Amino acid sequence: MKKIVVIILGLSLLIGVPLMILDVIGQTKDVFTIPSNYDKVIVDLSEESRTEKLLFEHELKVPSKVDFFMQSDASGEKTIKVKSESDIVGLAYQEIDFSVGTYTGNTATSPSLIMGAGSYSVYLTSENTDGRIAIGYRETPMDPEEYDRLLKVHKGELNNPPKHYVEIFSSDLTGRISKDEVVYTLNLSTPTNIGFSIYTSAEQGNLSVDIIGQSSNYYGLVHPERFRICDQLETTLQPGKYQFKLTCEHANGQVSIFLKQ
Amino acid sequence: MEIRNYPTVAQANIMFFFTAVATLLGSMFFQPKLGIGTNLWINEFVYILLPPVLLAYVYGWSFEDVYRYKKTSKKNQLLSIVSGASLWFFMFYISIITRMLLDRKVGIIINPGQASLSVNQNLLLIIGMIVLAPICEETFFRGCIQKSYEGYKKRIGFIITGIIFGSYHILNGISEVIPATILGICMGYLVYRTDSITTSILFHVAVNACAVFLGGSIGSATATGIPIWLHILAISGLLTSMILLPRIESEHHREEPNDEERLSVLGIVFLGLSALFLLSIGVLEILTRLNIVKT
Repeated sequence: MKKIVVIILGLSLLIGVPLMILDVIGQTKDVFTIPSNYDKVIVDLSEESRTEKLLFEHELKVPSKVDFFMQSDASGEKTIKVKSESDIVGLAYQEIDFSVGTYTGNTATSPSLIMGAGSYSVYLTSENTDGRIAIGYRETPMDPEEYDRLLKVHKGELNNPPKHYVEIFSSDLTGRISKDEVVYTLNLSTPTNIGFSIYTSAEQGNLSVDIIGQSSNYYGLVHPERFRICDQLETTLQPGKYQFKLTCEHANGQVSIFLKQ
Repeated sequence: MEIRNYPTVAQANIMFFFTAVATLLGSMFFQPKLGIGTNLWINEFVYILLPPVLLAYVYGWSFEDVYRYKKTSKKNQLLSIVSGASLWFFMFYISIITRMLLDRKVGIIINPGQASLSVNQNLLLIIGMIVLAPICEETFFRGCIQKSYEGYKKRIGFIITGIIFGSYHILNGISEVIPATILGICMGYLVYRTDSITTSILFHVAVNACAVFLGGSIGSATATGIPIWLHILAISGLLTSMILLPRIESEHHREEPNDEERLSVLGIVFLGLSALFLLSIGVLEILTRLNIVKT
């Protein structure tokens, strides 16, 4: 029995140690995996501690979608702040903070922001620690009509869904208290391509829209300050029941859900 | 000084305390750097298997006699595997219910990032859970700790060890404590009955294999609540294992200590320290769920 256990453990080590070595080699080769079509800035965090230190500033000549891809191989708190001269579509303020954990390889913080023409700047707050942080960014000009549509939603005109999307739920949030209230149920018998657009004009209180299904779940799709617009989230859903759940308290404004099926 | 031919309760408690602390601190250090799979291997080999191996080496104990590395009948092996696989469904069900209760009544823990594992880490995790964890944890808990507690109270040694095994799993979350305690008691019972660690290793392999291969798909089916089929599966699993476990044959002559050991002060102190340490981990999880402590 002891011999068998020793053989099993020995064989496990023979398989496991090369796997560990391969994994470490893989990690050191591609610590940061920012896509090649992104511009990137890499900062050594061991040089100094930083408080909202400007990393770079860019001018957007036309309204654009800016995709960020943030990774770091250092532990500890690192915050990236993005400030824009113009409105950031879907956000209550013209700035937003992103916390970047120890993300390397295929993990990253990868938000996308839609900003109007004008400059935007990126700041870093970090401790003096071993490691680096990498910020990739890609600017894509927006179709003017599409930008105008989203800007209308941003300013509170929620009934501006994309083409082929139909409203399935809309409600005034003032005075409404809901806790995981099912506002719409989708029953699918075959794998189906589905698109969701969820908009809110709420500026305060608690608000969350979740989609709960048997094979896929989406939590916190909108937020009064951070994500008022969840636009054209398209996916293929497996057969089953999917519930759209609303949670809100002390919120104002409206919430609308649109669906493309 | 009396030389024992099996571990004392004090030795077991000291070892358990350092293993629990080392598992937590080691995981905090190695997991972010080396990945969850490699970290599991370090935990199993270094903090869990090494202490009883060193102890046996220092005292010149035989693994067969002390840690009960003994063979058992094919029938016992089969019963251990089937009852382990059956009981997993009930344990998984208990774990889901506890987690749902904690999520609803206390609060949820939000993971800061979507981490997906590399192929290497996935393989390490699978081998670690199905091969290493059963061998290393059974040597540590049933081989060493249960043996020492059987010297204290021979008929309830496996129950105390089951509770210790369950409390250790608070490191994986509060929801794992009750299922791991029940599994620990069952595995301890197998060793108590057969005087062979083979049965508990096979039971543990079956449980972890079910967790690896079925946990994800059954877990995703519980997102909107617990489906009726899972209630049925859980109860059926519990009943099956309750029918099978008493059919395990007692094969070996158990060399039970004649004199029951008195608990030493050192043993009690380290048991208390372990309890405090593991309780503080549980409190930390509650505070995180209440959003008082940030992840």
